[in-house]
Amino acid sequence: MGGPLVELKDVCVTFGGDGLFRKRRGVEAVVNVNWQLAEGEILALVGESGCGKTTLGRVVTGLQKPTSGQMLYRGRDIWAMDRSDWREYRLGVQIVHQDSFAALNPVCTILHSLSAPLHRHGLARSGADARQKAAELLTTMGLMPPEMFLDKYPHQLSGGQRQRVVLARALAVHPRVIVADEPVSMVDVSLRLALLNLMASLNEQFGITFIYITHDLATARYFAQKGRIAVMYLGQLVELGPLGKVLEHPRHPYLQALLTAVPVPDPDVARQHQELPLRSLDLPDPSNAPPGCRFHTRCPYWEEVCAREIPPLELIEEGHYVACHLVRSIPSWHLLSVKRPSP
Amino acid sequence: MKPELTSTSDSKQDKQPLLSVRDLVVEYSIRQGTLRAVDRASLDVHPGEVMAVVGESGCGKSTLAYSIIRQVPYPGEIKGGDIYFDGREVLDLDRKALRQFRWKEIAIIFQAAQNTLNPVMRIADQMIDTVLDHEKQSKEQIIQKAGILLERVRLDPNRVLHSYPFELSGGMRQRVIIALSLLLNPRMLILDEPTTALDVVTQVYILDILADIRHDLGLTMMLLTHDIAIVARVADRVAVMYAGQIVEEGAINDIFYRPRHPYTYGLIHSAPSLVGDLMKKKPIEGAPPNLLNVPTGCRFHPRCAYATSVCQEKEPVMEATGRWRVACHHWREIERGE
Repeated sequence: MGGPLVELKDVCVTFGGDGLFRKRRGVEAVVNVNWQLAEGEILALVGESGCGKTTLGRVVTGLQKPTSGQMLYRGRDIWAMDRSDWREYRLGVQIVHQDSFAALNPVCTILHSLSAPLHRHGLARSGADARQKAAELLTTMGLMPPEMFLDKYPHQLSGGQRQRVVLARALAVHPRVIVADEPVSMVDVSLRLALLNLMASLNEQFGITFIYITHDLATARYFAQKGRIAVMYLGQLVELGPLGKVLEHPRHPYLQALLTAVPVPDPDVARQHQELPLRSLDLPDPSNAPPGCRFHTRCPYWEEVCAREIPPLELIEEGHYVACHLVRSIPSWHLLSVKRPSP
Repeated sequence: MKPELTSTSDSKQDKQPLLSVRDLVVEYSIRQGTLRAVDRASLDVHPGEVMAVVGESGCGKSTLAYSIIRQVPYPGEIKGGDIYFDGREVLDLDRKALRQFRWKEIAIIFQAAQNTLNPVMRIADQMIDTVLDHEKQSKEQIIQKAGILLERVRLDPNRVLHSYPFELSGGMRQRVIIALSLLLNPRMLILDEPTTALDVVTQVYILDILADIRHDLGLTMMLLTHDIAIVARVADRVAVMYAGQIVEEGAINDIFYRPRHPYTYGLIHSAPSLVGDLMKKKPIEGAPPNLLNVPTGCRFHPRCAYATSVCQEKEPVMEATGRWRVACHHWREIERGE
């Protein structure tokens, strides 16, 4: 097939703005984002709350029309598609939300929730066929034996099990892309890893492309270890590249600060004191975002040019893009290593 | 008198614990039956320590904390056990004494506390209200004290005191709450998931502030969280709770580097991290039990790789070596790394 599966071209999303009587500045939730995603890839989209990562996920799933720019699926603009292409796209791109309880109808059984998309898209010939297919889906999701779950209601399942049902439902229509928006943040800690492993196996087995949206860099590292990471700050994409490389040598000062702040579950590492490389702790108001590089008000290295011009996303080495005027002069930064005497 | 938690082999027990919980039982009576949220939990917190209580949602850690200030939400009820604070039995306090005890002896910061400020009152008025509710002081005195505390949590008192909560960010509100909790000079602070709803940058900042306060004021703290990474950063000691019971308690390094309970081991080795080998990460199989229907014997046995028939039949008792306690039939094998 060649070509990217999902492509964003200069995507901007602005909320609000032009009021009826006076011109107001809207909130620019996503500013000029470009990326290409190949079939079977895993992309972790990370950033703090309000950075636009969820909005971008909604653009990819067609739930949010970009204010300008294009969202392409298999090379075609989804907002200029004919009916049959649109249908193929809607089946091909599925979304999994954070709150599995809200995502499932509380008065419908699991079987009902799973068979609805099967009937709707003609993927099941009869009720018995739908039940059979739903059981297979649950088995793939590790919910065994499926008969234990089919006739239950969402409230009878644990958070981890419900999220598996939501994944099963997304999988029912044979998607090529799953956008997973904080899929594990409401799941018990002991169950998160198992759910991430399950998503990784769907990627391996069926070649499903994943966009994993999260604020949690540690789970991003775990899930997208072979994939890429995209870091957003106040609507701008600031760094993009292979996850291992980016986390080892983060180049954007924002990512360096973020990585400094992430707590590490290892007392010897966690207790080494490290200053946060930030000028200001508070995130600026998104409706009144700073001009130029939006990070310059908090950046310890900023120069006058940063307040004036938006830095373009530049290729600095193979596959690694950074949007920073000063990228070549910023000191290198490393994650703290585990310094522990051998026993 | 309360029984000792530690084994006699530990002779250097000169300091008395500030808080001692003994065999605490808390139950909720609901339509489906009686749910025992805290089951015979015992815990000592010594002066100046930061004790972290970790566990997943529903393990009973919040109920344990609310019991300590005798504020278990309806339909919960303390059914048994003792709580001693500085040698006094908290469960015997009358209304008036309880009022003095809360906030002046122990202050608690609830989960999502940044949303507990009164939205229609300026911060200064909330500070004054809080103090006057407990003791007589002049407003000037209170505002002066509030100013010092706000500076301690790195806020500008001139701006913050005259603000309404909506004018402050989530991280700033959380810091206001911390200042508010310190107004009456409590000896102990209980923090329930203090950083959960905050961004990582704000989170690390709050943890730094708490570390400063603890250092400067010699405050004793109890931190309830599900996040092992936060524990690694701030705690001196860790108590691990599972299905209403404390299963292991010990010093931070023992718990992280030499865990004896398989659940503790699982929690630590299933936490994704930015450092270390990803291949060594292992999920814990299964899910936590429904507290209306807990497994027989050891409650963790259906999820445990070490479980044998004895684990299904007999509940393990807490065994202590020094101040390190564990409730597992197989902890010796686990310690030897088998």
